[in-house]
Amino acid sequence: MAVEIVKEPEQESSSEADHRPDRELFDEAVAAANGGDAEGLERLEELLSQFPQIWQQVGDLNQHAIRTLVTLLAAGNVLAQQSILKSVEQLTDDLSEGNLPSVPEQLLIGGVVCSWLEVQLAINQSAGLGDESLVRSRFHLKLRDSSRRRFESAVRSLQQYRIREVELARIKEKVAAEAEAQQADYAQVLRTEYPWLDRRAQLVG
Amino acid sequence: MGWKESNGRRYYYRSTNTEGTISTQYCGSGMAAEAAAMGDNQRRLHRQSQYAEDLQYISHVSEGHSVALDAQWWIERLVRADACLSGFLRHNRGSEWRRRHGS
Repeated sequence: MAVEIVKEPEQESSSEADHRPDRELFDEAVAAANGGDAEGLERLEELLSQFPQIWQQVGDLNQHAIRTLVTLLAAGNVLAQQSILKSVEQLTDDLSEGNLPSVPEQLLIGGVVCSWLEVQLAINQSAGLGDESLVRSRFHLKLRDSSRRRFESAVRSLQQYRIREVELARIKEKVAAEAEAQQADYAQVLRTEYPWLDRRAQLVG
Repeated sequence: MGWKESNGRRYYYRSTNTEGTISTQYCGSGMAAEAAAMGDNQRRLHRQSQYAEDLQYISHVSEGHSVALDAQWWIERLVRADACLSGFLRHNRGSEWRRRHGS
């Protein structure tokens, strides 16, 4: 089989990358915040406030990835490209469940769509294999496995996010009931009793 | 695999690895040994060029997937950051999220 020439993805400009912190630094900050100490959480908040456009930028990065994968999957066939784009739109709508998702949820939905396309591409690429070398066959097998795992992980992350949102909605409901009983301002009660929720609202897109 | 010299004469040996067992085959000396060595050399060069082509192919195919990989990495970390800000802690390598003590 001839080596398939795939179109190289467009490189993101340096200004786009400037809207994101250093990968390693961000990873460390998230890990420290997850460690449970207040200092780690403060560091993460500081980093997110330094890069307020990160949510939008990662969303754009994901859209770029989706476009690249659609182009690769369609392989120059305009009709196929339109059909894949329709499927992407349909999947996004289905995952949104008719609601207007929050910024993190939009990212997660985009992530599920992107990893789904990646699985389709990996399947397509391995289906086109003929009398290939062992190295290429192993590579395609690993690629199919790893993209499937990423898809499963993306779906799991979306599920977990929705479970967390249900818990947070319960807290907000409790705060609303307390505010009503005290005849106080809901936002004020939320700020006093759950200050991190208020900070989250400011930091998350 | 290679040449060995003994008493001023060169002898060619071919080593093969069969399921982890190395076996050495005597190929003689003179013209027969030269022909065997040349054949082995050609096969080795072919293997090397095939391997280089494979690596190029792998890097080419991987490029399409690497954009998605980068986007997914950032989404995952941002959502983890959001969970930490919402008072949750990640447990069991992400299989569950628990409320942080006092939140």
